[in-house]
Amino acid sequence: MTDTAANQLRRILRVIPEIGDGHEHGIAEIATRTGVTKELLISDLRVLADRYGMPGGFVENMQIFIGSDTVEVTSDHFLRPMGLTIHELCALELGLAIVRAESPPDETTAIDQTRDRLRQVIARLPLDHDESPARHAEIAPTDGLPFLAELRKALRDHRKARITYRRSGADEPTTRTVRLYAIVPASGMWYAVAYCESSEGLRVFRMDRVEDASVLADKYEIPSDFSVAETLQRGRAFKAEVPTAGMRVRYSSRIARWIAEREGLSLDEDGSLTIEHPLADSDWGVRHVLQYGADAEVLEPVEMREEIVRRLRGMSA
Amino acid sequence: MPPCEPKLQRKRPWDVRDVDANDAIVDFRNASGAAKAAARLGLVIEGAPDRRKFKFRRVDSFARWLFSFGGEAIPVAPESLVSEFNRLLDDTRTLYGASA
Repeated sequence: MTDTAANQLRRILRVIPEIGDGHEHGIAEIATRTGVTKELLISDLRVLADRYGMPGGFVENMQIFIGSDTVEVTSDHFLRPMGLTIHELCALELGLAIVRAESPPDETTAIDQTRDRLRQVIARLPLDHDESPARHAEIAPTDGLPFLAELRKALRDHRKARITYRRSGADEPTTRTVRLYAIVPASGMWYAVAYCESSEGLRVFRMDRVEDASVLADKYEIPSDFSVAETLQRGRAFKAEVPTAGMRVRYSSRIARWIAEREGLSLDEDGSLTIEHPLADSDWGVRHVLQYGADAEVLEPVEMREEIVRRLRGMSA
Repeated sequence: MPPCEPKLQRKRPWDVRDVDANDAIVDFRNASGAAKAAARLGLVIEGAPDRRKFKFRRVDSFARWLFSFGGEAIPVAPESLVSEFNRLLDDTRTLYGASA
């Protein structure tokens, strides 16, 4: 059979969830389990692993270590097979039933066929289909967040909470009363979106910076015009406790095309790329820029540039 | 529904390569939240509360990671890591002009 890119992609999507846990796996065992030869398995993994002229800062997403008999993959991507759980299939079937009830007669045939296929798939799946850890995407870890449950309780009951919170870079935490509007994961961390009575405004609190929390008796209502999507921009909790300016960064041509691809932007004529990032946290700005060394330069604001220079002066190994 | 299974172990970019691992000693100076979290990834060194020991296989990747903490995580050993860190520092200081 002629191999195609589509076939290779299917194999990759199947194998990565099996081995993408950062542990060693036997190549022969994985090849047997996925129904391919060892050579083909290694060839598929090399397609993902081989990069040339890789710049700094772009190696976090997938790491592949191919040994003589074993392979290790650390990945934030493809951890979930491109298949649905039984619960999701049932939800789809239910959704289609609702759609069918509201559809004109000439459209029901296709819906009925799809529902039939779904039912057949659901009936064929083993009872333990959903129990593989690989079938569950990791939204954000909850370990190390001792007050998450308490604040979820406050949100559920619409009761105010008193939290002790340490802002990024702050030496001392502050205590404040908040009305929780949402608790959401973003970029691998949980955030509480809440109205802060001390600062009289909507704020986003990183849950790992909450040092104490207790539910109060006072109740509150969530405003009808509140929107989580508006609060979290592009999957990142960017809104600042204190509104700040953006940060304009120029990435050198050595790394710019990777950034451009990630951000969906076009390169400048000289091959570099300049982006204005929302800046809620100056410490984040420092870390973001310095991870690229001399391949990223803060252009604005002046205060951030000065902060980078100040840090550079104090750094010496 | 069964609970989500967190990953038990996660390798960092600097710890994945087909070569032997090296030991690194890192000083954490006035560490803030992110650097404190980074310090927790290393092993405690008895008698040196601000130092941690790390394993790394990729000196460039490890040096860049330390560099991103802006002076709150400074490599002490081995020499290859210190040199790489200082090279990054020199290049970046040059980028920002003599004032850095």
